Amino acid sequence: MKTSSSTIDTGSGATITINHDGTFNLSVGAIEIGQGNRTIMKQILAERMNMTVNQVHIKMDVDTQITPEHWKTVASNSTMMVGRAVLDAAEDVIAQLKQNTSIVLKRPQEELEVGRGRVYVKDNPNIGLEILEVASGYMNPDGSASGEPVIGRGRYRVHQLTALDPETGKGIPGPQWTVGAQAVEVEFDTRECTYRILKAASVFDAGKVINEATARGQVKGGMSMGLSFASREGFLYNNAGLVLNPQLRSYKLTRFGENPSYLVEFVETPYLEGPYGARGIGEHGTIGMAASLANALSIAAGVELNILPLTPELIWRYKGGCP
Amino acid sequence: MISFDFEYYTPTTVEEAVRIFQQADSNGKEPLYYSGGTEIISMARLNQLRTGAVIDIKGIPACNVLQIQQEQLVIGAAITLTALSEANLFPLLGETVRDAADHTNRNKITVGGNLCGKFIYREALLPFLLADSQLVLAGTKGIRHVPVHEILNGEPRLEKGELLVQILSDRRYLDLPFVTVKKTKMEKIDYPIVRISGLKTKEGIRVAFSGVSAVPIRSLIIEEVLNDSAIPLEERIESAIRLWPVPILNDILSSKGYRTFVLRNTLFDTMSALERRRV
Repeated sequence: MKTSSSTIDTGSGATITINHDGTFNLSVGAIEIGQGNRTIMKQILAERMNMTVNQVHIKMDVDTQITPEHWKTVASNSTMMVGRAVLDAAEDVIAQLKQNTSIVLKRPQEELEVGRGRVYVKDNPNIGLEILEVASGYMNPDGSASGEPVIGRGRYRVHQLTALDPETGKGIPGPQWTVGAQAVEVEFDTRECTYRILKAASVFDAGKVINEATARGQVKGGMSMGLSFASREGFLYNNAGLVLNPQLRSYKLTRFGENPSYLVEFVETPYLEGPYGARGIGEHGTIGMAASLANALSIAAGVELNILPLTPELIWRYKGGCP
Repeated sequence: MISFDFEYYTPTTVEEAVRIFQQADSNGKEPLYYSGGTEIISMARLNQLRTGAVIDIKGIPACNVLQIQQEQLVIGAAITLTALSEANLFPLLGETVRDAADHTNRNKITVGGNLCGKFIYREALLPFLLADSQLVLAGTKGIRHVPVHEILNGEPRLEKGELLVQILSDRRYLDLPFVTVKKTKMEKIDYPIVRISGLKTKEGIRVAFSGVSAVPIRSLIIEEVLNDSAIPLEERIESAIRLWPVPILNDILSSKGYRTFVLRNTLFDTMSALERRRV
């Protein structure tokens, strides 16, 4: 179970502009670091606008001169916070599109709907305009114009966070909780104290899985990272404090082929504050792996292992191999 | 990045290589013979090595031989570990070098570099120690043939400027029963904390070791103890460990105690397997 320990003033923003062909430009402040943030933000906007993801262009980079700020790309919070800012920006765009269309069609805004690249009358979808016709105001056939250019602005701010009471530990450190369970299966050589990790499993309550492939990739990558530091990573120092393994030649990571088979599944209990019910799952794959591996090896070796990394030599020592 | 300039020579004969070495040496270049380059490049990047001239021996035909000639297997110093495994003319050697480093590096690492380099493991040496191979060395006084034991068992003792041209192995040893096992701290691809290569001859079992100590070794004293079949194997192994001729390593890969534990187990498995085999 994990929440973030974000600062109290965490917020996020998103902006949307519309191209002449009716496609959307989305800009958000979270950083794409391989977690699939850009893919998911496109999906969230496309879902809200009822259009295809190909009709949303997302700015990959962050340009601090023009990109709205996102608090930090940390804390397994980007999908939730930035996703909410994107939805807020989408509402802003929809309102502006309706306003422009309302003038042209002479219908109240409440009777209008936006979707499939159009702004149309709810009761009679045949009556409507293409988004591209009203995105920068509307040009009448006689050359006169009405309406205003559409620029969407979205914001989200986490409220009600409080500092933890140092005495009681009470407080609200983060906006959301994600629960899950993880397990590891090992094959242990009782003589040599060597082992193989056969299978590693994770099940998380993702609230709503927005993109199954990136969600699985994120969790699986986290599990690999967790198992790697649990089993072999760590700097070694001499008495003078110098690092003895400063290269990947001597600082070992799990290599392809040494990985277990991974099982990743999700359950979906919607988080009402999250975009479409989504919860954070960014770092959760990593968290339980070390404890799972240590528990599996403790059972196999018959000794309680509570130091990392869990090398065969460490297990051998725990089993009384040598002082 | 390599932070210094150096000259690069590509001789096509052994004599030329030796001559270039002498010249470069007398000019204060501290030359090195260069083959696969993995070690020189790695160490130069880390500023652990500096040279003013490298002499690439890969263009010398004699260093590129890999064939049986009369009753001997001739292996040129510039033959790569990958080529040794693929040709597999000496299965103990082929299997031993198959899990040194990784495949990309084995495509570059040559047998000559592995035998004469600075890295302490030199795993390709073990099969040659067991087969009583001969080294063909070239120096200012010409070519000499020397038993591998005299020059490379333990610390390398080549003379300055001497070039390892070939390794000659008696054909009789090539297809004898063998075991070769590498144990690492954890990884498939890592230096050994214990590497044992064993060969069963009519006269007895021969064993050589890498990773246990700071030098690879074959010890006749250890072999004598291990072959004394009147004594139970476990006791022979304890005696062998007691008589270990060089200090057992204690480093970041393994403590001395754990290394000894792994050595004991691996030696037991190796000896048990070889004792069951028939010559």
